[in-house]
Amino acid sequence: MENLDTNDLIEQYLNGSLPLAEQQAVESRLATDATFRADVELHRQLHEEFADPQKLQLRDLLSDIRRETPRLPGKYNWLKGLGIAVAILFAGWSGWNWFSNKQRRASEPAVPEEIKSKPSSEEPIAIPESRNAPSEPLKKTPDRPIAKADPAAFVPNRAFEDRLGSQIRAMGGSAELQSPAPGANFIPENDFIKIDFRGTAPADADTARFPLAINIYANRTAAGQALFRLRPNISNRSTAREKWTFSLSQRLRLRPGLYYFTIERQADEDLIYVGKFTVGEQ
Amino acid sequence: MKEIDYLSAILSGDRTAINHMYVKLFPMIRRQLRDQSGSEDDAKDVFQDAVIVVYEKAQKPGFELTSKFSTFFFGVCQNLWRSRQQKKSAAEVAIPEQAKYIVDESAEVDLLQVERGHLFYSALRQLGEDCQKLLELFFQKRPMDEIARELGFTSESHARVRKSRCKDRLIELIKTDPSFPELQTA
Repeated sequence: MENLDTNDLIEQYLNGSLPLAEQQAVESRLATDATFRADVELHRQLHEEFADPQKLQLRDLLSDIRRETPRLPGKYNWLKGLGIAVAILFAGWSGWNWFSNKQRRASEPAVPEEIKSKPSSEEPIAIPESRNAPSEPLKKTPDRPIAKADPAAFVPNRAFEDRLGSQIRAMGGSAELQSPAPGANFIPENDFIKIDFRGTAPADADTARFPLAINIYANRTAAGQALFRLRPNISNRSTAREKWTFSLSQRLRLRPGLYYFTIERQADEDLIYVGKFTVGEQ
Repeated sequence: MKEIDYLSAILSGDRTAINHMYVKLFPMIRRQLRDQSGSEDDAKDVFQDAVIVVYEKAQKPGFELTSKFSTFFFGVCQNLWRSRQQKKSAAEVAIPEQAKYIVDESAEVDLLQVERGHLFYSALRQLGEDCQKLLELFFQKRPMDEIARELGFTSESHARVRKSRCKDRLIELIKTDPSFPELQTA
């Protein structure tokens, strides 16, 4: 027994490969030595926990999902989002006023700071005021410098990639999209892209009471916040029909990068579609 | 909408279906725990552990779902949360409404086992990649000569020495974790 280190001894005892005399010696020691008994138990538990490779893979998978999945939108989180958007707009407006007064050039806009990499730094200027009508065309902003495309802004986000359009449909979601085309690329004109969302969604009583929401996320969504939360128009609003048609034509100001959008039924926060598009350089 | 067999998805490790299950069931668990002063992270812990509990239960001979999967899963989540709350405070925690999710005894959980599994897993993943791979194969009872070949060790004895060191390190990580003393059963 002296030739074996404790680990080997315990392993051989647990797998039953110790000679009888040594096995009996281990058992005597187990009866009297609490520390040794705890060590043997720990080894046994480790073998039990890690014997099944599938369980280990499942743990890895769950950790990945947890790490990669953005905080899911809560029922009233849009209010928080709206509050933040209003605060940002107000702060922007105040800053702009201050800057303009100071420079005595009221008609000239403030020069924006270098674009930061955090998605939350996107300016949520395209949140439509009207819930059920396409947004008013936005005023053309003066030319502003757009930062050179950041390669990190195009890195796919696995949490979204795993749920892209077809996968969601296969798993029971039932929205179908005619536009934008899968993986569409938009080139901004005067800093804006125009994106048309058109498709069909399941017609049920829940959707009759709670409209659909289209959320747009940057590829890096550590904070889990949608950049925009949009409300499409729903036509054929009758539960007698199997499908409703939804549409929304929206202008958005987005930096070059990869973006994901989700279509969600607000009744149960159920995702019914996940898609993506890219914004190229002007 | 087509009902997805989440139990089979858990057993087969179907990433897409488990992802879908997360999207579908997590908001409800989060809402449920929020009503009982749980945070989003608490809900994530509970969800993650509940999937493992379901996996382990379903492995046991004679396991049979006697209710809808979601009802069973919420029962497991609720029991996990209740056990954690009870552990936190020595006093009995009043849990209004939850009883409706405890549909049968099969949803009961062994918190000690759940937390031990959690600790072992996080200790293993703190090791270097080589050690992790070596120990994974070792715990799966792969012969040492095969492990040595697969991982490119010069000899079986070299692999054995390395395995011992890795296992020592794993045990050290486990034993030095602050939660370890209360997870011991011996």
